[in-house]
Amino acid sequence: MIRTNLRYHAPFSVEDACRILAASESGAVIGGGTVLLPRMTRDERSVLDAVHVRNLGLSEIEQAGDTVLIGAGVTYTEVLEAREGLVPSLLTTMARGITGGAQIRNQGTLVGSAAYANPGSDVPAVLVALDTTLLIQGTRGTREVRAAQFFRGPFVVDLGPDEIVTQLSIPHAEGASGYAKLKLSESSWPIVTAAAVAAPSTDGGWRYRLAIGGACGVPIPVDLGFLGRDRFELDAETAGQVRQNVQDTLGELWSDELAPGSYRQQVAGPIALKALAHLDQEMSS
Amino acid sequence: MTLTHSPAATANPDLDPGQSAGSNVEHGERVRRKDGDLILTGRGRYLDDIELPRLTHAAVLRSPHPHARIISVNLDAALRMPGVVTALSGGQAMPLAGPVPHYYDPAVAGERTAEFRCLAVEKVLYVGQPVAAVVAETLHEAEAALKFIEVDYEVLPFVTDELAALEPGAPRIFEDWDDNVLIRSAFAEGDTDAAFAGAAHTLREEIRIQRYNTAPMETRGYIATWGLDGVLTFHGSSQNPHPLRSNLATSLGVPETKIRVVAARLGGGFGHKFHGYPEEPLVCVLSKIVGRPVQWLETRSDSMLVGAREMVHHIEVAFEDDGEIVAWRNLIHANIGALGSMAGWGMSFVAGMAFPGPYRVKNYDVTSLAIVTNKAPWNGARGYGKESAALAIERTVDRVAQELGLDPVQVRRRNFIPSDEFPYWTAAKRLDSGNYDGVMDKVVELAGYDALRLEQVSVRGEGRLFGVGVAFELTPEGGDFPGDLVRGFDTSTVRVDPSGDVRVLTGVTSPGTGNETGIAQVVARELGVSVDTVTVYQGDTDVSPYGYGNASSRSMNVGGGSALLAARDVKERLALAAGVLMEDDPAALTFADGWITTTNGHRMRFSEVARAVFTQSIAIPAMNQPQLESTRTYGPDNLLHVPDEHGRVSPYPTYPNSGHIASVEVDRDTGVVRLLSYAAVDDCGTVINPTMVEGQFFGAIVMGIGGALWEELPYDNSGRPVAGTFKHYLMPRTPDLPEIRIGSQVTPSPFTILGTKGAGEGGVAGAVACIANAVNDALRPLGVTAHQMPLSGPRVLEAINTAVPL
Ligand SMILES: Cc1cc2nc3c(=O)[nH]c(=O)nc-3n(C[C@H](O)[C@H](O)[C@H](O)COP(=O)(O)OP(=O)(O)OC[C@H]3O[C@@H](n4cnc5c(N)ncnc54)[C@H](O)[C@@H]3O)c2cc1C
Repeated sequence: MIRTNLRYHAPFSVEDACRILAASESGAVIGGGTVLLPRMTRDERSVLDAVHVRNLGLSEIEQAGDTVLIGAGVTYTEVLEAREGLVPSLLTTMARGITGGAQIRNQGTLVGSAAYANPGSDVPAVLVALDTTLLIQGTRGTREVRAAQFFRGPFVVDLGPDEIVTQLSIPHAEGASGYAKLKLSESSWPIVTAAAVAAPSTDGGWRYRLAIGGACGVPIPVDLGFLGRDRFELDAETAGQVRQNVQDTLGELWSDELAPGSYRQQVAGPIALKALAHLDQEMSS
Repeated sequence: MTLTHSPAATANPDLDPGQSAGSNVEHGERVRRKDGDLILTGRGRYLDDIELPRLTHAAVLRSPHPHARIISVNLDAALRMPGVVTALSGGQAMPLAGPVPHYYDPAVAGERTAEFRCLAVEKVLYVGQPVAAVVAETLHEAEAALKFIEVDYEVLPFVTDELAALEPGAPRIFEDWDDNVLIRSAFAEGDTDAAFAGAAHTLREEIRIQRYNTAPMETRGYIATWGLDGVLTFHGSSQNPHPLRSNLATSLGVPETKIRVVAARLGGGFGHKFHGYPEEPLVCVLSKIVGRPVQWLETRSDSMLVGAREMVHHIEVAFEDDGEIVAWRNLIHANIGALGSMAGWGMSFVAGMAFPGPYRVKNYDVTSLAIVTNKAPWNGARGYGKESAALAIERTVDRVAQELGLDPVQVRRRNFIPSDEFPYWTAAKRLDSGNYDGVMDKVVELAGYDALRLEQVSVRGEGRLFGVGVAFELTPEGGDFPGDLVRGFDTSTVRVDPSGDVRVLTGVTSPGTGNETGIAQVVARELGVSVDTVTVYQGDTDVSPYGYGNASSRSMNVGGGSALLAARDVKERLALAAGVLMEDDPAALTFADGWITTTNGHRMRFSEVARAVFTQSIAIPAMNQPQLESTRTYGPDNLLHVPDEHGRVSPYPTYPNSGHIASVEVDRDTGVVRLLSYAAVDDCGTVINPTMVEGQFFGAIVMGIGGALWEELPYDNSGRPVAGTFKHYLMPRTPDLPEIRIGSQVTPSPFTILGTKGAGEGGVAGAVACIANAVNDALRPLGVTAHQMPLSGPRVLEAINTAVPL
């Protein structure tokens, strides 16, 4: 049961929303509420002012030149139902695999997941792999933060108490993608995720990006420079190099009640290779 | 997941599954569950649906420390919070309620015991122990006020590991005990040392089963109300309302006649709703203080405090070249937490008692230590220690097969107790009957065992880790423990109304298994009426005869058995009346399809005869029994408490059993186990309603799979439980499960009136053992074993990491 005398707000402008947050002793933005509300019910988070994004006009997925903008209110289902070609295939693959079923897919937002920054979740590594920029607004104006810098630590992001993530801005440069995640069982949080992207580069080749989620407190971009710009072949040598690069890049490992850091470290390589295998498959087709 | 029942696997393929249930029928009718539509359409009412006027809500402040002395509790600030009606500390509760009576007191077994209050008074023994309570107009206000209770603790050293708790200098959980061992239960036969000395082979393993429980869909909850007449009405999610009433009377010092316990619809019991919890008397005390109804509901994380099953088996087995097992030695360390008044500690006893399972092993020496620690206490959990025993027994049988290069099915067959040796005595059990080879034959066929082994050869050839698991489960059921209110018999009343409708009032309760439907079937068949005209009343202590509720798969054996006897009495009276009315010999009448028919074809409706008994008795000469009601008590014959000439007793009367075969693949890179196939055949004696039995068996298998692979309630180094939601405590979901194929064999019990042995619990133990064997079989090419349950990805990968690289 929520223990505070909670005030619920559904303002019609982002400015108002930020003002309410700034004035509150303990404010929180509600996206879909699938994380926030259960946490409040369990008394893990004490909130006095809850500010819903529903009336902020942020429920759209829009094309803006070379980027796609995903509003703070956009749910996994809306990503899945977006017109073909609008959202990167990596987002669609990821959204399809959210384990909470229709309830979570219909209600949970991508921005909510990013702002929660649970190492054991799908969105963070995907945003990093897609080189996403988060558009943020607060009482002192707007700013932009690259996903790789937004995630500061487990459950910690670069966001002030009066700030709202309004949109995700994703360069629409994804040529192909691959996604893999390891769960211990169907209901498990993702233990390790791997998101791989091949973006066509201006010179006609490819730029490969890989990010690993869940192994460390924040998503880790892995250098795939050694693949060059050509179409890669996932042979034993490449696989070995990928594994090596993953291991070299992982920093402080993340542990929780489902799996220790040592386990995450060991499985990160194989999961990365699975994501690359999917990418390889998609590129071939 | 697909659930498939294989009719081909029934004991008697000629038997028409549409036949009626009863004492002489092996497979009864698939009658639809009486309350099934109600539940499926969301109209079943659970505890939180009960609406009482002026209801208040209780919240409980729980200890944040695993071990601490309570210096003071200050409720002042909490009492000033909005909506708060009252607040209570352990000291204040002392004069209002005595110790919470044990579900069964270890003292009855001549062992140590300890007292537990509804709120801790001097010390807290585990994180989560109730320390104070608040009652408020709303649950929100009650929970909000908890933060304003100030408790001053002196933190004490604590111990959560069972081996550390055995160390001489370990913190003592109960200061008046000289160590942390509650009970040492020993079970032995033959000359184990000599058998080990003379055996061709021996091996030793350490097998750990984790702390986990049963996670019923509905958590617990209680509502207490005191009437102006001083009568306490207690609505509660209880599996055993009558014993709970007796214990509340003791704890509250109220005459038992002044208490009515009404068991709410449970939404799953599994032992989690055995009584002995501190919140039971607590709500009664709080309601008395505030003069209004008080409700307390268990949160999911509260429910995950309750432990069970955590045991380590230090097990050795001695065997011959042909796979004959000649001896077992086992030392079990059970980490039972801080004891409490609930029913959990008995699982450590049963884990030892269950040896040597279904095997004809004449030498064994098993000791089980129930060790107290600063973890939250256990309550019963489906399997009740038998799953732990089955895991240890079946893993070692597989290890024997592995050592000798024999097929695990063969080794089991080599050691099964032969069918013609029943009843068969072990140290603390007289096994009723069984055809273990028959069950094994059926499951081998149902699983396509030979094909699985061939598939294994080819998959292994590709370097993949493919395992086939075999396990056999023997499940002692219907336990009877004199000295406390946990008994193996029960009582039912059968009452026929003037309309001919039938009421059955029984002391057994249903946790949601559908036993009311089975009991109605038994009575309907006996009286020759439709099941629809029979209504079963359970769970209200003002309505049903005193009974022992739901535990140990006892409901059909004793609820059905006593109802059958009572129905026979009523039938006899109806026959007398019908004989007079139709001028025929009462003994020659037949009761069927709602008619009572004479030998020469005259017939009267059952309802007509019933009405005549009420309206014509005494008036018609010879119809002098104006009453259609009987209450009978029944217990199985195989409950043996008087030691035989060898000093043996048998507190469990029936022994259902089942065979299980599964295949799995282990991912070498991650250790994650994927279940590929599952087949199981059970023998629970006579089956009254196959649909109900299959439902229980499917559920039990899935519960076993969950425990084998994922479910766990770990503690961190600071003595705190870390799993509080279903994102930490991983229950199986449909995509985790393969098609589950089940079959059945019927070997009726010669000791129960219906031939039933008990269904409900059986399947959990077999599934735990079967999955453990399958995973270990998959790991075999690597030369490693995984004996720390659950066999989740990290655990299995840890085992894989110990493999010596080729
Ligand atoms: C049963 C279940 C299954 C789940 N399965 C998965 C899964 O498979 N993969 C996965 O990744 N996650 C999963 N989740 C977690 C979660 O539901 C999703 O990640 C979801 O996307 C969270 O989004 P939300 O909009 O509901 O967040 P909310 O609960 O609304 O918010 C989460 C946090 O973000 C903050 N926040 C929300 N929006 C903003 C904003 N615009 N600006 C600033 N801060 C904001 C909130 O204040 C809060 O702190 C699951 C959850 C459940 C309950």
